[in-house]
This record gives sequence, C-alpha cells and structure tokens, in this order.
Amino acid sequence: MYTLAKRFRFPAAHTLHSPSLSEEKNREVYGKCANPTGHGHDYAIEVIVSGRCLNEDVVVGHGWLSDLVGQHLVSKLMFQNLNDAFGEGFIPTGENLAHAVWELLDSHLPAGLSLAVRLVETPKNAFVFRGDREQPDSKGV
Amino acid sequence: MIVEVTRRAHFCAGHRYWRPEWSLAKNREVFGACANEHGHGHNYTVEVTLSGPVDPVTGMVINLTEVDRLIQTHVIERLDHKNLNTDVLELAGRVPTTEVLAGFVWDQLVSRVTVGRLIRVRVCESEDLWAERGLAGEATS
Repeated sequence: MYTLAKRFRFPAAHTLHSPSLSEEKNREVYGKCANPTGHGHDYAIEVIVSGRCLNEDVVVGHGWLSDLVGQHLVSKLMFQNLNDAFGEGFIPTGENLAHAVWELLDSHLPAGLSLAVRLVETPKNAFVFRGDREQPDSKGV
Repeated sequence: MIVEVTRRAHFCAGHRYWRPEWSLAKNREVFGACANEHGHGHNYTVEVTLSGPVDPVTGMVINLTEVDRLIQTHVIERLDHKNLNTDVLELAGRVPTTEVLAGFVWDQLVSRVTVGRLIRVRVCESEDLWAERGLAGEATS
C-alpha cells in the first residue's frame, strides 16, 4: 500500500462556544479560546490518501487532489469564520474540523482509496480523523 | 467519531551514549560521536498522541490544558535541563537513546491518560531524527 499526502494552508478565524453549556462553563472548558470576539490561526489541512498505485504509478494525482480541495474547501475555509462554515451549532474545534473536512472530501475519492485528514491548528496541536473505524488494539508494543 | 489529538512540547537535555562494559573502541564503533567523553545535548521535541471519541457537547476528545499538565508534570519537569545519564531514576543503567526516551515518555503517560487513550509518543532529538513508541498496528502520522 502507498500513501500520498498533500498539505494545504488556510488562515481563518474562530471562537469556541458550545450552545449546550452555560457562559461560565464555556469559559471554564475553552479558556481564552472562548473569547466571544474570536481569534484565528494559520491552519493547515493534510489530505492523506492511501491505496494501491495505479498504472500511472500514482495513488492519486496530486493536481487532482489540489483541484478537489480547491473546489470543496478553499471558499469554505480560506480567510473565513469557521463558526459559520459548517452550519449552525458547529463548534470549530480541531476534532470537529478534521471530521467535517473528511466528510466533504471522502465521497469524491475513487473507490479503493482510504482517506485520513490531519488538521494542524498550531505548531503545537494537530487532529487526525481516519474515518469511522474500530479503536486500535489496546495492547502496547 | 474517533479523532487522534497530538500535542507537542519541548525540553533540552544532555546525554552520552556509553556502555561501561564495552571498550572505548567498541563504544565508538557502535555510537560514533555520541560516545564522546564530555557528552552533548539536544533541543528535544515530544509529540503525544491520544485517540478517543469526540464529546458532542464540547467538540473535544480531551481538554488540551489537561494534556499540557500531564506532559509538563510527568515528562518536561523530569527531563528538562537534566543529564539523562545521571539525573533520571528510570533511565539508570540505560543508554539514553531516542528510542529509550520514547519508551520513558510512554511509560510516564500511558496509565495517567484517563480520557481517550495514548496511542503514540514521538520523541524528536532534532528535526532530522525521531523515535516512536506506539500501539501495535497503529499508523504513524
């Protein structure tokens, strides 16, 4: 199996607020990320595609991957407010963003390829969604 | 929905690769310049990856402030500005290689992670060299 990964960068704004929690609890859970006027990050999305190499010796064309991201993600994310990007009530944590991006891209991939999305919020934190699957074996190696 | 969360932290430490039961020639043959008498040091980076279900209320697997606290208390305070050959009880008698450090960080955190679970620890000695300890069958990122 081969994996091809491509990184796309996009500055965007967000604030973290859960409608299910009180204002006090929001501040407790999200800390300074709950600032109601928002803040932003230089985000990166790594689109990670795994599968067999095709006859042309590629897993998937990286130009095609760029077009896919350009078509489905750039206008949604680039210099946007991520609180508004995925519908009302969406909480733009790294976890939810990785999942939402995966959902947008996965159905467009050719059959036989698997997708993982790595959302990098800052140099200190990143979030990976690999699709819905079982948790790994708990036994260490 | 299972998401992997990675948090990065830094520490600086000194070490020397040396097995006392080996001759100088043998140590030099196996460890090269890392066996130099006076020791040396690195600016290390630690990447800790947890996996778990996303809480629909908060949109998070775990609050990163809790991950920071665990890493700070059980890894950084134990290793930062230490001599890894002499100052860390758990490493006594070991050659403090990057692999051994990855194992140390794993052992420090694995039973203390109570939300989600630890799936991977990466210790980078420099930008060009790193070692990982992780779960069986888990993809590296």
